[in-house]
Amino acid sequence: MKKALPFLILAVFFLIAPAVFTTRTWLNAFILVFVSIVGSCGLRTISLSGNLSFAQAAFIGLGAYVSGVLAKTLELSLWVTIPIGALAAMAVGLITGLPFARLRNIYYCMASMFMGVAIIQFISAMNVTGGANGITGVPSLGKELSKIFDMPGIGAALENAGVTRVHLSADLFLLVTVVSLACLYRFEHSRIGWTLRTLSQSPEVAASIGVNEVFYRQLSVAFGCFFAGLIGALYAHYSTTLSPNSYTMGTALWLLMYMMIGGSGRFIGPIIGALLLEFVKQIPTILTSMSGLGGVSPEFIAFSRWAGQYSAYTPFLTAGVLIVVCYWIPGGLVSIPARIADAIRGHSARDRLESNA
Amino acid sequence: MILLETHELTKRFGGLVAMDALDIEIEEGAIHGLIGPNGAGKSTFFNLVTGVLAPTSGKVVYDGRDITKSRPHQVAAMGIGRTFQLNPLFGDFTVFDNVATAHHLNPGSSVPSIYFNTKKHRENEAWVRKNTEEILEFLNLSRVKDELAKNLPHGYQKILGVARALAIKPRLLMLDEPLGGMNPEEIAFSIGAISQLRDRGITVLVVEHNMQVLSILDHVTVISFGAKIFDGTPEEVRRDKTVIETYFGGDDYE
Ligand SMILES: Nc1ncnc2c1ncn2[C@@H]1O[C@H](COP(=O)(O)OP(=O)(O)O)[C@@H](O)[C@H]1O
Ligand SMILES: [Mg+2]
Repeated sequence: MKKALPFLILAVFFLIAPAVFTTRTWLNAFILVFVSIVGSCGLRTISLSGNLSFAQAAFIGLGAYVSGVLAKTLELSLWVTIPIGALAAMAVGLITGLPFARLRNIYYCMASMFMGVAIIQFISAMNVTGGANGITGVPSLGKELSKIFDMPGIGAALENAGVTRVHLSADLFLLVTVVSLACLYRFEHSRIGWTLRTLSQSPEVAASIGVNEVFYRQLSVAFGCFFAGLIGALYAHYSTTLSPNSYTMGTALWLLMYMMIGGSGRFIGPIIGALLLEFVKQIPTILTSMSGLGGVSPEFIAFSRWAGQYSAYTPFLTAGVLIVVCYWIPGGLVSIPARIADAIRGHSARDRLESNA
Repeated sequence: MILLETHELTKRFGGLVAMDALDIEIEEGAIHGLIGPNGAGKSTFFNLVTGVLAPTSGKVVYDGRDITKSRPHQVAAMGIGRTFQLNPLFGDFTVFDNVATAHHLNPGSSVPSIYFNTKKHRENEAWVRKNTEEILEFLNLSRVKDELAKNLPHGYQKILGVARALAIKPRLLMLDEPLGGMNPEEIAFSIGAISQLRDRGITVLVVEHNMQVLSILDHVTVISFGAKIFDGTPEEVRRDKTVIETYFGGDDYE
């Protein structure tokens, strides 16, 4: 029960939030948070075995492109193309992962970096994807969802319940996020997750108890990439545009930072990290749009201009936070409560052992 | 019956011959000692048998099967358990979880069955918990089962390594200097435990410098510079001149 508490608070927050923050800017911000959360949690699943991947943004992009391009050019229903996007990300993750599955630590980092860049380069070298410019006019999720309102009975019922068209997309993102996280949570907290964690502590010992390293690493890649692809595919239809610039190494680094700053040791770590940092990143956009609404003081407008001007420095700020976290709180933000508790109790396991003897 | 045998097992590291055409035969049900000075190639032998290293030439036969090309996790699945000289552990796991996780292959439930937590998997888990408790009880680790492995004193960590290897239900258990760094009390306990393993039907191959183990060995192979210099019973070893010269002659082994 104690473990479930943070998740409950988050769930309540996300249920209430779309009702309070009704503007398009806030919705955009929320949806980006969902994409980051699922991307970053998937990344954490892959890193359970001790390998940090720099390719995660590319798998979000892969899902986005496959679904977006299929839906646009072949005029397939997006309900068909979104799962295909997720499966494609998983398949490419497994294929490109195979030659790298025996690599560890820094070697895996470098290989995954290469993999991430190569995937996006490959996508932007094709014609159907619109190359470096990307494409617009991807079939819209909002439009598809608002069809629900046209259905006899259901539409009226929804409107009576206070559900608006604008919020349906956000609700779908929320649903997909919750389901994805539940699947990843189960993965980690089953024996499979334990087995993966043996690999991060000692691959030699893991092999000596019969753990097939390649199989288990690939299994984590399958899960991590599938959900990255899924949320990416959904996002393509929300934004209705595709651009290779959204899925670069920079994005991959952000996903890593969410995990490291939030805390890579706990499932909730990347969720907290993505939530906080994604909003920090969005502050200038949100401020600007708020000052555009009118009725705000000139000081506020001046402040939002100033913030907007300095938004280019957000990566530096985040890098600073990352360094602070790495040095002083290696377990990330989520480890702070446990640290405080330990400091208060003030004795280690060894003391207990000796007092027993 | 011969459980493990090697034929002209050879390993070269560049110019260095770490294992020199070694023939060894390990009788099922025996406690077999492998001794030799530092750098003789004992750990290399472990790594060759378990597939961590590929031999330059020669072969390894286990239970009548050629396992020379098998990978370490496959060797484990065939029932060869091992510990490591430097004794790496799953340091961030508790003692209990170190051993429970090591039941990876035993009794073994499929990945989907684990993921969906089927009835079969829940039964397996119950069995794993029970068996873990038994192993911890046997090796006197129950008292520290909730401690993180990395916080344990050295002697306990060494015993934990054995507990973990036992979790795979080995037919052959290979122990690389299990008494290294232990205090006399822990040594006495461990020697007792190793001899009980034989009573449980486990074949044990033990690498050890500590001559107290001679008392429980059924058979001894002495190697030096990767080559076999003697093979026989502990009594024969004690009487053999060359062994005493090359091995017990040094100041380290009085
Ligand atoms: N991976 C390796 N690369 C190069 N030389 C090695 C390697 N492993 C062991 N050796 C060398 O092989 C010889 C035997 O080592 P080892 O098997 O560890 O001896 P022992 O366990 O009997 O003390 C030593 O000279 C050692 O330096
Ligand atoms: Mg050695």
